[in-house]
Amino acid sequence: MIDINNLSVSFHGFSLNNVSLTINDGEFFALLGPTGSGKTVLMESIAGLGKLKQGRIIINGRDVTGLKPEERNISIVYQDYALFPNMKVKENICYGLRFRKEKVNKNGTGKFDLLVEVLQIGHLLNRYPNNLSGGEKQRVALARALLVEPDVLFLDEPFSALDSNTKDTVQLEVKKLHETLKTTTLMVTHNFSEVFSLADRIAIINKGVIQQVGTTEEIFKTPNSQFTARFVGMKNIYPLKKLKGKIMLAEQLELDTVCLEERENLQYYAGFRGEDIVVGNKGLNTDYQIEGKISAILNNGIYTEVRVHAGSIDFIAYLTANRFFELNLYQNKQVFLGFNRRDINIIREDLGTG
Amino acid sequence: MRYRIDKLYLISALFGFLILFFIMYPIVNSLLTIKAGILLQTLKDKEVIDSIYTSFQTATITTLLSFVFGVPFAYFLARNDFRGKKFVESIVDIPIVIPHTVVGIILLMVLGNRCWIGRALEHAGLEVIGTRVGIVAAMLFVSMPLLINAARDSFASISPKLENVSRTLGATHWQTFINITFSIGWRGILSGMILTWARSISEFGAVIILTYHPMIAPTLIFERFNSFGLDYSKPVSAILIIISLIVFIVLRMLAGRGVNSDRY
Repeated sequence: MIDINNLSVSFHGFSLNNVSLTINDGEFFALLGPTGSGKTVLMESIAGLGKLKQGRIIINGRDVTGLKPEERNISIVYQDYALFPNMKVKENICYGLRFRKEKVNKNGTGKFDLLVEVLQIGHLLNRYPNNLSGGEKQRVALARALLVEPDVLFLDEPFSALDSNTKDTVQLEVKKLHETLKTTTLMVTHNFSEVFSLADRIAIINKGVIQQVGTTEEIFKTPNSQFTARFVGMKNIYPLKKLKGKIMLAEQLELDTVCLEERENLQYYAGFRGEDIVVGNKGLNTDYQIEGKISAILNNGIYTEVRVHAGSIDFIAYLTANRFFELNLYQNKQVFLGFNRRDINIIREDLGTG
Repeated sequence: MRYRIDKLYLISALFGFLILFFIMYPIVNSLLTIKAGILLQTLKDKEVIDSIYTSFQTATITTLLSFVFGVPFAYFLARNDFRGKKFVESIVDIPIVIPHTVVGIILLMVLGNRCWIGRALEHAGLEVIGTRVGIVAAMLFVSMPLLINAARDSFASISPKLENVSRTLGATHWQTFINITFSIGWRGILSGMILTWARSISEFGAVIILTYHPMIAPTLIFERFNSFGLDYSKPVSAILIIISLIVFIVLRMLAGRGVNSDRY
């Protein structure tokens, strides 16, 4: 278990403010945030590679705050793999054992063989890293990190340098490895889709501050801020207001099934996923509907993004290619938009006491 | 398709040819105009052999001292950002811009017995002026920046992430430096050492002001030229050129070995 308490850091021009976080034993935890949000700084701070301004880090009951990186029993896999170019693959993988003799004696070669087999890198052992493909490098870096049996494994943007086919394969392998070894894992990424199949829990970080912590489903379904909602792919976010006792979406559409607890300093928004919004040429069977005019059509290959201007609101809907052609949509066409009550995601944004 | 000649490349190549001619012609000419008899006679001249030995000895000591002191400093500069870093780096470069006779004079002022440093060294039994120590001091001053800069650039080109990974895998900072940083960057350091050595061998202006005797090869050539003329300085020059080139080429080959292989 990792217990991060009130951590403040400032280096490489990034800063973290009062970050507290608990990562459970054996958990796959993802730290999700945009570029420059401080997520890599947080990871390197936990690894002891940066100086803390304040705070405490406890790993498996051991206070590691003042320890050097080599005393923390943490492994890192970087985005660019950081394989040692002066060593063959086998030497790379076994590098950590030079300094942790006790692990050699305990495991013999069992662990090495297991990792080589699961990651299918047996044929690469005598090659230098420069000759490997991105996916192969990634597997070698994973083997090197896991052979020393770290208390925590850090993955820094592990898939972002891979092409999409390799990415899927490596993602599955990471999942399999985590299920087999149950190593507590902290993954840092800016890509929400990467964490979906892997992470048990997620923390959203922005500008050095943790925005929300929860299970993948919680974050996906009930984001607590517009920032998080946008980050997890909610393209449509509109303010909710109470007018004459009715809850109104952007002062335009009454949402009679929504109840809001009225509190000061709390702003409500309704968020919709593009894929949950139904588009039709005539009246729809959805719980709510609204009429509007198509303002733009963007074909993204797998799906088509249709932007509809309805009153003061611009909706973004995602349609499958089939549905798009069925409806015969074109710019400026008048259409109906609909959504169901279960697709309304209420975002409660705390405006703070200031 | 007709092959078209690119004018820019043509002119550039022509200028390159002029440069190579300018460098190589005097060297080849000096070697060709020497008579074998005089060359053999010069090789038996004890003064010549001694001076060349002194040159090589002091340049090698200078290179080793530069290595011992310069490499850790270069690593420090490559890995740390601090206020005034640009200023510190400029100080390291200063010896490159000072005329070498001036270097000799300013070193004489502090290493001679007029200055407390010179007196302290003399008290400690280390006489600088007129000894090999003076030669090394002059060479060190003018050539050390070459090694520091080469080593710093070499270290800076190695991602700190490699060191981070090594540390987290259990290696101490020292072990990481030896196993990773130095092991990857040694080629850049070696070429810095070759430059330092070559610069030291060729140094003359600063050395004669601190130490005329024992003579290094350039000092001997200067003396023979002044006292006996061109004919007597030529054979010594030729020998110095031959030996220096051989050492230089061997070291360059050593440093470049395997560069095109698949390793890095």
